[in-house]
Amino acid sequence: MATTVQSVSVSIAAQGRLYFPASVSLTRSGGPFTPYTGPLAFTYRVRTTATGSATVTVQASGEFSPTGGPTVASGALTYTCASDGYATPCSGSQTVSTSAQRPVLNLGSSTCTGGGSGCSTNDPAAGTAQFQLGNQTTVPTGNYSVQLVFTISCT
Amino acid sequence: MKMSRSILLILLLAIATAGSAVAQSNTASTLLQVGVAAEASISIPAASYTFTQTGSVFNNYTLAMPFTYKVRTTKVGGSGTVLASFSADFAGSGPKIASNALTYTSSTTGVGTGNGTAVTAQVGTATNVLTFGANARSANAGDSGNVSWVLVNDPQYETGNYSTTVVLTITAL
Repeated sequence: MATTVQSVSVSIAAQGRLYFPASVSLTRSGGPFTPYTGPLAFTYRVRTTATGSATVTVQASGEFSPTGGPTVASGALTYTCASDGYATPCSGSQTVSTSAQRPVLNLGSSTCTGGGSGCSTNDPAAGTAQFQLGNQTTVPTGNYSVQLVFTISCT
Repeated sequence: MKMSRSILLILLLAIATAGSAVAQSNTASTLLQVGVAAEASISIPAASYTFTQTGSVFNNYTLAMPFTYKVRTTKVGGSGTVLASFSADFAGSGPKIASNALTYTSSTTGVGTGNGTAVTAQVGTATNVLTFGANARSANAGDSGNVSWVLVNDPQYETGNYSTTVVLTITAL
């Protein structure tokens, strides 16, 4: 009979993953020419280091298509943020940009989703971005869409 | 053989350690969709207006009634209207819409076409104030229209105050 001792180890790194629906539709919020609104619910898993942090951001990959409709560049597309309590949502109303990532959620150091006891109770944790698009009379009737890219970055 | 395994383990640990110092990111995308439909709104700035008489005696009474509206009609094949309607006539022994005593012309500084030729108002039947074609779009702050009312000043009318209510309705298709 013989035995051997083998050392094994693993390095647990900061990681994050987002889960978003393929599409979301905005609908008119009230009477004529009231803004179009719609909630975008998403979930995420995250782990940050003892000195790290994480952010969830959003950026439009381009303008609304087809052209001639609403534009991101005009500042017409805004959003507010909410979370299930684990992350800190963005403050106030944010404006979507085609050239810069805008904040959605912030998480501090030593965060982790699932299991409670310092980690989030929910696994995956949840957030919501409530979008609002100005309803301009000058926009022709039609169906318009824009691709939004959400990024979670962790250290 | 054992020596080789140890070397491999050390290399893997070195790679893992180096990886943990780099920020990790993950992306997901969503298509944000909106359907922009035909719609319209209209408002009259004051709750009531009063006809006035100017010039010679028995000149007709006149009234300029401004209104503002927002409109967007369907890009292809769309249309729209602003209509004036009266559900009741002037009460008492004064002027009567039913006797064709009330006429108007209409105009706009924005989108749409008014009536340069006088239109006779009717009770119970809406009459045209503005007409919109396809892809008609007002300014975002709204466009301004005006109805110029003319009420016959017949000596047969008894003196007194008379009133009725007009409703302006905007439709966009």
